[in-house]
Amino acid sequence: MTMSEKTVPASSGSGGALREKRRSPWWEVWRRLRRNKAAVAGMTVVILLLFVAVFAPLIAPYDPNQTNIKIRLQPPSAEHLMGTDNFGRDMFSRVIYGSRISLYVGFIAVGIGAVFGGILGAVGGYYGGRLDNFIMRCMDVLLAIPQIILAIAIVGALGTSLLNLMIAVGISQLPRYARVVRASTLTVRGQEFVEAAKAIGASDTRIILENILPNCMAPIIVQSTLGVAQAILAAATLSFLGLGIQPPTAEWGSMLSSGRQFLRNAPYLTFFPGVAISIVVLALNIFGDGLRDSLDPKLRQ
Amino acid sequence: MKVFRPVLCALLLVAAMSVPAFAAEIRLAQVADISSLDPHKVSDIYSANVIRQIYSNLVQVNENMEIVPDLAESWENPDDLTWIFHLRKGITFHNGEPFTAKDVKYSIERIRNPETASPGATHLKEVQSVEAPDDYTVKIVTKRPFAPMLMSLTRYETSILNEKAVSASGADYGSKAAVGTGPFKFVEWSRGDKVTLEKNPEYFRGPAVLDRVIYRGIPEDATRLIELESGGVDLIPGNFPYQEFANIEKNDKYLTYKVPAMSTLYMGLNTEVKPFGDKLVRQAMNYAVDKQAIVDAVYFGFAAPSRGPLSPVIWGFDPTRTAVYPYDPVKAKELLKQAGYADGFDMTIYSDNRTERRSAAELIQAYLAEVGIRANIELMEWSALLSTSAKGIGGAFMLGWTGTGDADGGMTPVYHSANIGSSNRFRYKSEGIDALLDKGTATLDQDARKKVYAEVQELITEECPLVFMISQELLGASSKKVQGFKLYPNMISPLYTVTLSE
Amino acid sequence: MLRYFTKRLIFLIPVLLGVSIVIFAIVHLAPGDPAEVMLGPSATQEDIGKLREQLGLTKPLYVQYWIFLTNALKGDLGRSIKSNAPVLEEILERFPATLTLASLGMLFAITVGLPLGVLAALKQNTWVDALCSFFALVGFSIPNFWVGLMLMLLLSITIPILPSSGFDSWKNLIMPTIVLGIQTMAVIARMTRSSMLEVIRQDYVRTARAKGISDRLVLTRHILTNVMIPVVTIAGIYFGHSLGGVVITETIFSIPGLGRLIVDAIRAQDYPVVQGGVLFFALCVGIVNLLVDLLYAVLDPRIKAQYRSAK
Repeated sequence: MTMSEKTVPASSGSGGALREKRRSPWWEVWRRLRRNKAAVAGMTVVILLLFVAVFAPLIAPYDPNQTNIKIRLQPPSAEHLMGTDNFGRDMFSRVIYGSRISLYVGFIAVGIGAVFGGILGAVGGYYGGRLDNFIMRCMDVLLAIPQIILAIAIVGALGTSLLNLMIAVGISQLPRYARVVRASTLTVRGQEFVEAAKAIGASDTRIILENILPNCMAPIIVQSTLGVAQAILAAATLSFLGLGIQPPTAEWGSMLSSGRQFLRNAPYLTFFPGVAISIVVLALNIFGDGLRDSLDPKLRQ
Repeated sequence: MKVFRPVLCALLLVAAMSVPAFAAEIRLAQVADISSLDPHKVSDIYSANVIRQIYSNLVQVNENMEIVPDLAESWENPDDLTWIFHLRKGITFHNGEPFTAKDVKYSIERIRNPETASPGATHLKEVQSVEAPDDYTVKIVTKRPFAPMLMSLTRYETSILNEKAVSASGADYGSKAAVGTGPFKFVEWSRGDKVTLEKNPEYFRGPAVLDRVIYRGIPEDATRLIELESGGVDLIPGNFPYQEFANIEKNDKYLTYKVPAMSTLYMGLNTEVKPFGDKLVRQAMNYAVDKQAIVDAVYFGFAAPSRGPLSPVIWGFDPTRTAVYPYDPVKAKELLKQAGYADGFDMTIYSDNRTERRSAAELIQAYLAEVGIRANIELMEWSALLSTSAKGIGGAFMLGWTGTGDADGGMTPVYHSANIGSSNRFRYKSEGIDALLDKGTATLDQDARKKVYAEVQELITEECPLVFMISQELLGASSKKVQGFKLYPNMISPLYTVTLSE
Repeated sequence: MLRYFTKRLIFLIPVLLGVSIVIFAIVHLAPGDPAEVMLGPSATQEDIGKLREQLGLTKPLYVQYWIFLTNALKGDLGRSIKSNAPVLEEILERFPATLTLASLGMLFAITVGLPLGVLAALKQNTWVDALCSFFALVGFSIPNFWVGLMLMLLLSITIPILPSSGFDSWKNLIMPTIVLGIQTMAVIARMTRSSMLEVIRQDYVRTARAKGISDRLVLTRHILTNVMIPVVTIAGIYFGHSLGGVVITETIFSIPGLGRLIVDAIRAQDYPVVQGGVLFFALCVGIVNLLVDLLYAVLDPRIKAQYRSAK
């Protein structure tokens, strides 16, 4: 999804003039995105979160895993901004560190799902016929098993670990990208510019990469922003069902689910990680929306 | 007369219909729904609780875990290998069949039959033969002197069934039918939701006061509590969330129940894994962990630091014992230095995701870090934890042990080297411990037996193939209208004497 | 069309076959086995071995799979290792609760999500749009088990008007429906909005508008029909998703549904129940997907034409 030339290589049949034109739409996207205040806000939050994740050790006032049961379950105070958990660990530091794991799980899982799912969907939609059928049947097999149950079964089989969690969430999301991309491919492949590209003898790979995929970008982006959020929530869900991340790793989902037993006495334990998840999801969605609007080819006219 | 019959029927019908209005119905919330009501096929405490209401055993335990008569009025040992039980007369099963010694013979043989694959078979593995010389006498002969026999016969796994009832239902026995001689009869089980029982008017001690009993499975702590508060359930017989108990104790709208549990929580060490083979290291780890911290942070005060391998409510516990291995990080470091691990070592703690075990593991990890031992935690599914730890796990493991209520059941499976490969998950062999445990099993004189077990408890504490933790309390709560309920240390509490006040 | 339908139904068979292989492989990959779970922590290795043999777990995996498959084809999914009850019977007993919940959740999602999305798109870039979008985003961003616990705290404790667990009356259904539907609602609202915006800018809509066709007619005839395609896709996908999401809802509200049955079975390694349950789920999802594809064809004549020519 990087906005570089590599993603959208110059078309072979065109001269330098067209190359110039090719680049400018992406510049245009960026220009339009900057004008969208909500999107900029969303993007800022996402960048801020990445910053927090990278510099967590500098920002967090305490060691996130330092237990001290003498100060357990303390409500938020100047010393402990978000209170302390049942082991006396500083919740603020844990939420800060939690951004690392949550973003990591979210992006990697979606990366697995989007890359593999997107390729399968585009190839299937473009070629149609038996290949499409085979791919879609495989997707149907995965899709036919409810996502959470599939993820639980995979984590159960592979064992509980961060990597397995990401694989489980990624695999269970894969068909969604395949389907969305395929659906867009189906509508795009009949359009004039694809026919035109075929007519001038462009190779299939080139057409998929140059003509089909860029035109499927909007749904992929919408789906991916939703997907990161979904992956973070799916991780929390797996934690809730007892298949999360290895303790004492600070991860928002598992913090939320282990805090739920103190919902009445210490609601801040579930409140802050819940807010953190919600902010990330919200920011990603707003940013994704803005990107979608900016990418919309019809708007360029 | 014939004319009156319809009128009479109508009257009876009206009478019958009006009964539910006065019927005493109690609704209980457990953590999970039952898995089956065939006592010979279950191994979970939630099924056990319901089974306890439907079935009877030869002997039973009271709330102090002392053995009292049930279907057997009295018993004797003509020699160390023979147990003769004299049965109560005039008892009938819920299906109307009379209860006789044949049912006992049938039940014990069914448990021991490999075809049944009964989890309870382990309790009767010392049985050589069971005979019914007459309708009201049962003679059990054991392979060797087996002192824990009576405790084994109190177990829910050794409940007495009726052969006709079992063969009448075939594979559906336990799910669509369950026939015992207990104070409540099985009515129906809607799977995943609840099981309903009703009063057995023929119960040999006289009918229970309650008319209907409904057990529900509510897995979420919060939901279980909310249901009690909103009146959806009347009684939570154990598994009350620890963190909420102090609050509800203060609330005079509820009655609370608290009793020391038979179970203990510990961190086992696979002694075949380096450096756990070294006693100094094991003792150092025992000193390194503050057990009181686990009591406070994980159990919110409703537990006590371990006083050895047995919970204080188990028969044979030596009451002179005090808490083992007080928190002493300095001594721990010293011992580690002596053992050649001055810089500590790396290890893994395996646990399942049960809140208490996982939380305790997190705390232990922090305490071990203070003496230089770097532990990381690996969570696994319960089934995987059971399986890998039996075969020899790659480090330490969080586990609890409940046992049978008898010192033998509390220690022999866990510490005897004959059980390496299954329940001796420490894979620890000590000839001294083995010999003492064998002696305890074979000593029928109860006072002499207690002395043997006092010795084993001290020896195990000294050898410590585990890091001792705590023994917890069982917590329960009910609405005020529930009267006469007693929480049993084995978490299987009878409802026979419970009444409801409006 | 009918030929297409039957063709798709036939295609469902390999899908189910695939599902059975995938799930069989996954459950047998997990460490530990049901014999160990059943006999508990005190069992001896010998007892476990005996039970394992009795359950047929000592046979090679492909033999076990073949036995499972041939029996399943005869309609026999085996018996639960844990409760010894026929698996199919357990499934059919649990399924109504799950289906009711999933359908109600979807109904809630569509009746709230679709109008929300349409409204947001029509009033693009106004405060109405912002509010609708924000509502949808919040619905999407909050973890649903948290919503469940909060609702429960509010409606079962603070203002005790709804029961917090069980499955006895319509009152039991309100909170689970919201918890289950809220995410799908958000997705549908978002999808509706973005598709609406896309379609509104399409040439034919502008042409229609230019021709002077009333806004309302344009909305119903041109826009909504086109918007329905992605919405139906998403709804279809999310129906399967919410069948799975039922696991959470069923756990929080203690509803005896299929989701909990399967998750408990995965935990206890009750192979027959996992295999049977997932297969049954897959059959349902397969049928839903088929219906979605059919709706596709009905909604978009171009795709129908493609299916025709593909034959």
